[in-house]
Amino acid sequence: MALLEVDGVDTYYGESKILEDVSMEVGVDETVAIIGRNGVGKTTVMRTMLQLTPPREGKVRFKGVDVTGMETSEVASMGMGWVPEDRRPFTQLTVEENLRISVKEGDVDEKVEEAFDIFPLLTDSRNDKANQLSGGEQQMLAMARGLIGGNDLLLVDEPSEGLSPIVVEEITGALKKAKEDTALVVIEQSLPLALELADRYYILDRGMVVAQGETEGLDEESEEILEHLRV
Amino acid sequence: MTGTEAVFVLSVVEILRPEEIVGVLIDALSKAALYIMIAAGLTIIFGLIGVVNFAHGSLTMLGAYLGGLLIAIIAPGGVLSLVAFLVAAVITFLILTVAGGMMEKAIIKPIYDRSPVYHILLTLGIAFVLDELIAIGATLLDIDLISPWQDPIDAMPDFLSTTYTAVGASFRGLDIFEIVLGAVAVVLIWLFLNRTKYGLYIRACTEDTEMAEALGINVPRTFTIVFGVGVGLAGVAGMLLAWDIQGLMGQSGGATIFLSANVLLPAFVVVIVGGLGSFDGTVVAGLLVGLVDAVAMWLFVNEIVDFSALPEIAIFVLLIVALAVRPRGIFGSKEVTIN
Repeated sequence: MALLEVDGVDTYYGESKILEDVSMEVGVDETVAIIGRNGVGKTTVMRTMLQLTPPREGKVRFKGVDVTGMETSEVASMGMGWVPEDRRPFTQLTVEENLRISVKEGDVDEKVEEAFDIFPLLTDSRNDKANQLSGGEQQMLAMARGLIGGNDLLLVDEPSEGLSPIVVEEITGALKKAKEDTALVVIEQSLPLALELADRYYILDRGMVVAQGETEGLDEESEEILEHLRV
Repeated sequence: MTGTEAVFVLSVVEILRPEEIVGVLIDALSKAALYIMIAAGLTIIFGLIGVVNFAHGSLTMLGAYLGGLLIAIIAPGGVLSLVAFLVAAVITFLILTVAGGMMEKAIIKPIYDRSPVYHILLTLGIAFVLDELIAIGATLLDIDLISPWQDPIDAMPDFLSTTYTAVGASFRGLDIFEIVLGAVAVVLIWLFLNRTKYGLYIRACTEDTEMAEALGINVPRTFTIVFGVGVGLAGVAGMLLAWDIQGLMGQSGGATIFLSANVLLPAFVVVIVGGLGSFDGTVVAGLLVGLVDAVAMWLFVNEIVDFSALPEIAIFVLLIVALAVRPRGIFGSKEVTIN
């Protein structure tokens, strides 16, 4: 049984149809990349998975449970985490408070220290408000929140966007470590990084899945991917 | 120099005497305690939920009558009446917190997604209904609605109603009690917001409810708790006002049918001056409004002159200045628009 099943969903913003008949599967401890040009609905897929924007048609099943239309907090409590594209730290909370709030189960102090072990650069900013962090530090914080949240599935939206190579390296290292015991869905503009991280991929175009497959043996020059990404 | 100018100059010279300054400061702090307690619930509710609760004054009045009734029934007289007050305050807080939570779930929640105009109209409607229900209840209990309700005042321990003199300044025992209770309330609210799990949830939800939900926080439940606690705080403030016949802004105090309107406007002034949704701002603005009220009372309502409307005017002048100079308030992070 797949950990997550997205089954023929249509998702709208108001009257605008963003996703049409999208179906995807994510297995336990599998990493799946969602690839596509800007504005094709990649982020909406994640929002639909989490029920932040529930679908009008189709079903989303997580751990075998139909979560369609469920409260997002319930889906999150079941073990689905989200690292959004714009990071969205709680800017008026300290770094430590941002971490504490993300721990759903287990020893909170232990989990918080685990986050500082993953991203030691955050340690000195422990008591700083999140709005004092740089973009890279905010991304590490957003990632740390997802990693210590006790999630079985983590949705990671554009983890490398706008970051320096050093920070990208940190983030990539954390994701590689995370994928050992967590399933990941990654949206990533950097094709080499997406292919490096993922076991399988889905290509989205105009709100529809137009291709899917294994990433093994593919690179950024592979025609089966490039033919869908050309403008 | 005209007579009025002479009175003003004399008043200013008089206020500079140390004992007068101490007296005015004690009065200012006791008034500030009331303002903060009334406005705290209002600002926390607005900060998190975005609902401007026009029923807040009526809920404060409900606390005054409910708490007053409890005090009148259980206060044995003497020092033990103080214990009775604290017991009644806890019971009133709990009852109003539950009632507020139920009100939020049943009536307020369905209109969260509507424009603020709906929030205002709905909460105004709730205020009118509550005022009438309180009036009916009080009438059934044979309570005079126009004059301050005497039963809770009679149950007040003597040492609170006594006027004391220290370092030349005169103050009531009740002033000190209000200051202590206000300080305790501020510390407890601060600890709740900054040292508890729900406080953390509230501060997170105030900033980004969607992200909070995505982290597994039950936002609707957080809203219900905050609304309930905000109403509970208003109720405890109402209880204090039932004892304090000196009142606020030069208005007569005690539990009367006018209490809801009398507290609603200054509560809004405190919340707006402090910054919508900011508890720190509410504390600072409460102190500021309390000081303005006390100084204005001292200057304009005394043995020489009696311009009892001027303290109210002074507070609204403060509001006008705040809106003109810093519309977002002292600690506010955003201006609010009604579409």
